[in-house]
Amino acid sequence: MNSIPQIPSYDDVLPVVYKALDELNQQRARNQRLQASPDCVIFGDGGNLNSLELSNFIVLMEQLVQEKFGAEIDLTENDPFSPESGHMRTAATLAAHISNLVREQA
Amino acid sequence: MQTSTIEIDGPVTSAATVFAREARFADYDAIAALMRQYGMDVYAREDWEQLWRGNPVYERRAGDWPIGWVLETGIGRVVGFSGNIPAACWFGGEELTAAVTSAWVVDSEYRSHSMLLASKYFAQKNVNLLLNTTAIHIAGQIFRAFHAKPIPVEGLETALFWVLDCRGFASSLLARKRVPLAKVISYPLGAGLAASAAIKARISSGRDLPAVKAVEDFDERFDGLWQQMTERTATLLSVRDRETLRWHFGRSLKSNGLWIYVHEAEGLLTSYAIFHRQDKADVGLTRMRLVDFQSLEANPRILDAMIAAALRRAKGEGIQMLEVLGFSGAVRSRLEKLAPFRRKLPSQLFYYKAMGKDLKAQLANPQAWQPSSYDGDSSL
Repeated sequence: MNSIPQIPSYDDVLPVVYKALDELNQQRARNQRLQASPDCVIFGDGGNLNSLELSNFIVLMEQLVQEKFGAEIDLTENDPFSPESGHMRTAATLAAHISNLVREQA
Repeated sequence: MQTSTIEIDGPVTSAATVFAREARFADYDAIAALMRQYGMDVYAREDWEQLWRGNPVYERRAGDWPIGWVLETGIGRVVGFSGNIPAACWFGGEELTAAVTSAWVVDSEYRSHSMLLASKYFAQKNVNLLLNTTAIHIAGQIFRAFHAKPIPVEGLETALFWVLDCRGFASSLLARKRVPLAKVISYPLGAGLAASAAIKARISSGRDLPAVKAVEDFDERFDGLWQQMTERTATLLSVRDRETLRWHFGRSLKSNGLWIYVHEAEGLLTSYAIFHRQDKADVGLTRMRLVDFQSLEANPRILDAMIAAALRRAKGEGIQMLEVLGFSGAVRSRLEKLAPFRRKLPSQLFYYKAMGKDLKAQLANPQAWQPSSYDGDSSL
């Protein structure tokens, strides 16, 4: 049953980010929903999540990573909301960051 | 609208672009305007600066401390602020430094950027503890996302209170609930409250209780009491030496918004209670809050006597209610026995994040805490 990789690649993590976005979308109006794509903006110019949604999203992402990959991570470290380098900018930057975090832990 | 773009000599700069930077004292006017816009209490410039200048920890660090962070747009408009006040705590035989978040305000157009402020606050170094004692629901959620935890003490989500002017209190309560004809309806509601309050009014006579005395300021005996407290306590305590108390309550002392009761033995202090005036002017509520109680003696009647003295004075001055937030252990239990009313707060107010594994483990223990409105910024 378990095909979960111990050290997930970017491609392994991206669907997990999409799953969290999907859960977030359940609480949003249809025309406000975020598109599951690598360049989906989570925070910054073009983003439209409010701070409560962002908070819930972070908690949810960390839970999903723990469930899927068995890793305890903290997404609030390393200047996550920096406009230039923050990992919370897009689905792609977040997936890449998580993949790196889990690799560092392994 | 702030989402428009402006052109400055060629490159297009988005006015909606927002960044966080360390706040400066010179930002006062912009911060005060923003706070006024959102109905927050605004300190006079001098009082606001005194949150840091005159703060014993800030002075000891010679100002090497961020007073907070502002959110600024690409065109230099301040659209958010969170204050960062240093506070000394005593725990495990040593002094720790806590960073207290205070006066968090963000323009509604930029609410998502609250996360930028939060990330600056949580990323700061050279502190042992991050503390928020006035967290509304959203702030609580943001704090949780940043791995802060509610202080693990039962009852912190419930306020205890006495009603002293039943009709006035009922009127302000109805105004808060936006009930039409609040003044008229307040008569029967006030009568009902009076009947309930009478059941537990026995202590307010003060008979057979230990003698307590009202004092106007914190004299040197408070240093002696604090010294003894540090030798006995096993809980985390915000520092309560004379210098810190005078800084903490400086604004309230100036405005006569503070009642201090002490119990003495052989000229030394054994206990004190501090009551702080915290009205809600928008609904016409007048209120005193018990913000601190410390005692070297286990005698619960000392607390009874101080509450009784405050109740008598509040009634005499036409104050509608006396309220208590926080406290733990025997003090909280005693207060629960004494207070006739309680109300559920909209959210847990007390959050913390320990910086360091050992402290994190120690503070997960409820016995490590004795939180009150003296902690953090709720009685500054």
